[in-house]
Amino acid sequence: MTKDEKFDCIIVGVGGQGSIFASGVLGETALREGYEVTSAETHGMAQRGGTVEVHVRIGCSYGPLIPLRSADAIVGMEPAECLRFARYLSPNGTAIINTHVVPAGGKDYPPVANLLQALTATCRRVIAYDATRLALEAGHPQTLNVVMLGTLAHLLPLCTLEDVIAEFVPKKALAANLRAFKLGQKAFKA
Amino acid sequence: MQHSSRKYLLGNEAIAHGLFEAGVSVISGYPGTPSSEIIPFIARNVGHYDKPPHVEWSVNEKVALEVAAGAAYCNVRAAVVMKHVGLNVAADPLMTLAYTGVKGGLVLIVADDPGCYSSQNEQDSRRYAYFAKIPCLDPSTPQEAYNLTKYAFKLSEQFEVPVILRSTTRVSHARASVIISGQHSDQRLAHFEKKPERWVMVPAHARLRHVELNKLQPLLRSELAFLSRLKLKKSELGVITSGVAVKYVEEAIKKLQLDPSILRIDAYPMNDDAIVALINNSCKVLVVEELEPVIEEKVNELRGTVEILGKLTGHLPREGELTVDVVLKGFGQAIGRFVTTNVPAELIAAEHLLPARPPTLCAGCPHRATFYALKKVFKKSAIFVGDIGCYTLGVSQGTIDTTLCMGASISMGSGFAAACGEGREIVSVIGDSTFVHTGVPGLINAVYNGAKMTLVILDNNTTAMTGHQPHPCTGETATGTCNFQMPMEDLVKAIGVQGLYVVDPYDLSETEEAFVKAKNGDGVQVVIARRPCMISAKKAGALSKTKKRVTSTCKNYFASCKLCGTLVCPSISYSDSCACISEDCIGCGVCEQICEFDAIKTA
Repeated sequence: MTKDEKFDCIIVGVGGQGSIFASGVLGETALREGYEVTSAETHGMAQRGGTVEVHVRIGCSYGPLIPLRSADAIVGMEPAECLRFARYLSPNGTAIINTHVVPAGGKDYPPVANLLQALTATCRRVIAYDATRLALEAGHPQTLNVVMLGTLAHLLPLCTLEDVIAEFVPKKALAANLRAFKLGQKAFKA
Repeated sequence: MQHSSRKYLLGNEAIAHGLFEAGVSVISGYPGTPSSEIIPFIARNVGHYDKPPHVEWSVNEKVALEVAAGAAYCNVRAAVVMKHVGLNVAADPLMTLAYTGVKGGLVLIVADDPGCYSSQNEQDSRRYAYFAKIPCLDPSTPQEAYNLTKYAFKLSEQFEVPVILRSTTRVSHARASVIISGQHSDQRLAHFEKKPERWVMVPAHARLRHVELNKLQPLLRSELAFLSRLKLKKSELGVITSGVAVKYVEEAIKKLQLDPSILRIDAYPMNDDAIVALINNSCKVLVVEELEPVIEEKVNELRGTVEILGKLTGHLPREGELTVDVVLKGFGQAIGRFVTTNVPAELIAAEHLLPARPPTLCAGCPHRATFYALKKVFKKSAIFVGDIGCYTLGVSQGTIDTTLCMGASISMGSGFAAACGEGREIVSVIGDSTFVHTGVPGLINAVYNGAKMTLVILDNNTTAMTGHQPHPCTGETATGTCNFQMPMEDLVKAIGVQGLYVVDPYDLSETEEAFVKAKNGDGVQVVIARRPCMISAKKAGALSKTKKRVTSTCKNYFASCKLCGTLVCPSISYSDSCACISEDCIGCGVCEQICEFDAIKTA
C-alpha cells in the first residue's frame, strides 16, 4: 500500500447511530498512517432524528465531497439511508449495509429485500447483514458503528483502525467495542 | 505547544487554533450553524493558557461585534464569530467600524451556508465586505482557514481595518489533516488613545474617515495581490475560482483531463491585473465560485471581447451549493463536451420508494406539548408567528405560520395584530435564547404601541438548535462560570405586559388554562412555557431518575382515533391503527394526558 492510494467512503445513518464517530476514527487512523484525509459532515438537524451523511476521503487533496458514482464503499447503518446515498457508490464499489430498519414516519417502509435488490444491481458487491443484532451480541447496541467498521476494515488501505478505535471509545465500553469489531470483521464476505 | 503538529481537525477547530496562536485577547459571538463549534472549542481550551483570552457568548451578533470593536480600539486583538445571517444583525456597527478602523486586529469569522442546510437564506458575506469596503479572505480548506485566520490579524493591524474571514459549510464542517505551527503570538497590551476625530463618528469626523477608507482601497488591493494566484497555460479556456470551489475545480479538470489557465482568488478586494492577465490569455473564461457571482461580475467589467461563463450565463446554477458534479457539468457546457454522471434507473426507482426522514422535535420535547395546548386553545384560525430555533419544527403541528429571522415573531406579531384588528387571534412563539437575542425590543415595542397579542416564550433553558449554548437566562457563560442569571419573569414584567403566566408544558391542563386566560386578556399577554430541553436533561442524567415506562393498551376499539398522532412524536407509531410506544420514549406523559380512552399508561 502506498500512501497515495485513494479510498473514498460514504458513511450514512440516522442521528445517534454513530456515523460521525465512525468517520472520525477512520480519518484519525488515515492521518496517523500518513495519508492526506478530508471529510464532510452533513448533520444540520441530526439530533432531531434526521439523516447523517458523512463523506470520508482518504489519500485525497481535493474537496471533502465525493462525486456521484465514485465512492469505493458505502457504509449504511440503516437500509433506507444506505439507498438514499447509494448514488455516490461507484459501480465497482462495495455496499456494507445493516438490514435492521429504523422506522421513519410518513410513507410505508419498502421491503428491505427490494432495497438490497436495487443495490445489488448497481454495484460490484453488497454485504448485507443485521449489524444491530451483532452489536447486541457484542454487548451494546451503540457498538453498531464499530461492527460496521470491522467489516469495512477489509477494504481499507489502513492497518491500525482497531487500535485507534480502542483509544477513542470510553474505557468501560472497550471490551464490547473490540468484540463488535471482531464480529464485524467476520461478517465480511469477499 | 511550541512544536508543529499534524491534526485531524474540523475547519472550525482549525480556525480556533488560529485564534489562539494569533494571541487574540477577546473573542465574542452568537451561535449559528455552521459557525457554532469555534467558541466552545476556545472555551474548552482556555485553561491551557497562562493568560487566557476573554471568550463570551454575547446576546446577539451586533452586541458581539461591538464587544470585539471595543477591545480592538484598545490595541488588543479581537475576533467575533457568527453565521452569515448574523452579519445582518451586526451590519450596523460594521459599516461605521470600517470608517473608524481599529488599533488591534479585528477579525470577523463569518460562516456562509450554501444550500441553506440550516439557515433561512443563502446570502454571500463577500457582498458585505464589498459593501463595507473592508478586506475579505476566502479559504478553501481547513488548513487555509487556519493560515488565513492568523494572517487576517496582521492584515487588520497593518491597515487598521476590520477583516472578514468568510468560511462556508464545506470548510467549517469539513475535517482534514491540518498542520498547526504551535507558534503563539503574545497578547498585545491594552491601551486606548483618546482621539475624537478617529473614534467619535459625528458627521464632520465621519466625512474625513470616509476619505481615508477610500484611500485605503488601492493599498489593500496591492497588499492582497499575493492571494490571487495565477497559473497561465497554453489553453483557450481560463478558469477563475475561489473558496471551496477551488477544490472542486481541481478535481473536475483532473477528471476531464483539461489543462486550463487558472486564477484562484483567496482575498478581496480582487487583483484586477491578475484577472486581466488571465482574460488576455484566454478565449473564454469560466468563473466558479460558491454563492453569489461576485467575481463573475467583476470579470465582466474587465472582459473586453472574451466570453465569460458562469452563474450569469447559466453554466453554473445561480442558487444552491456547488459540488464536483455541478462543476463538471459547467465545464462540460463550457467546452462543448457532454459531461454527466448517470445514476442507474434501478437506484432512482428505489429512491422514490424511500420514506422521508424529516427532522422532528425529539421524543419528550417540551415544545410538542406546548404546541398541542396552543392549537387546542387558540384553534387553527389563529395566526402563529414563529421564530428561529428547534420550534420552527412545530410547523408539522400546524402552530408555526411564519418564520423570517431572529426575533421577528414578536415584532411581526404586532404587525399582524395591527393589520387584522380584534377579529383574529395573534400568537407569537419564540425560544428563550432568541427572546434574549432580539425578541426583547419587539416586546417593548408591542407593549408600548398597544398591540393585542399573546406571546409564548418556549423556555428550555438553552440554545438547543445549535448545540446547547448558554445565554443570560441560563446564567452560565461560555466558559461555565455563573455571574448572574437574568430572571426572565422580572424582565417581562418590567416591560409592562398585561398578563404573565409561567407553566410546565408537560402539565397540559395548567398550560391550556394559562392560554385561555391569555386569550381572554387585554394587551400583550405572555406565557412562559418552561421545561429544560430533553437533550440537556438527558445529558445531565436528570431523565434516568424520572423516566417512566409508558405502555399502550390501544386496541383500536375506538375506530382509530389517532389523537396521539397529532403530537407528531417519533415515539408513537401505529400498527393496525393501534398506537405503539417505542423504546426511545422518555415518559413525558403528554400522550397519556390527551388519550380520551385511557389507553396509554405511564408507570
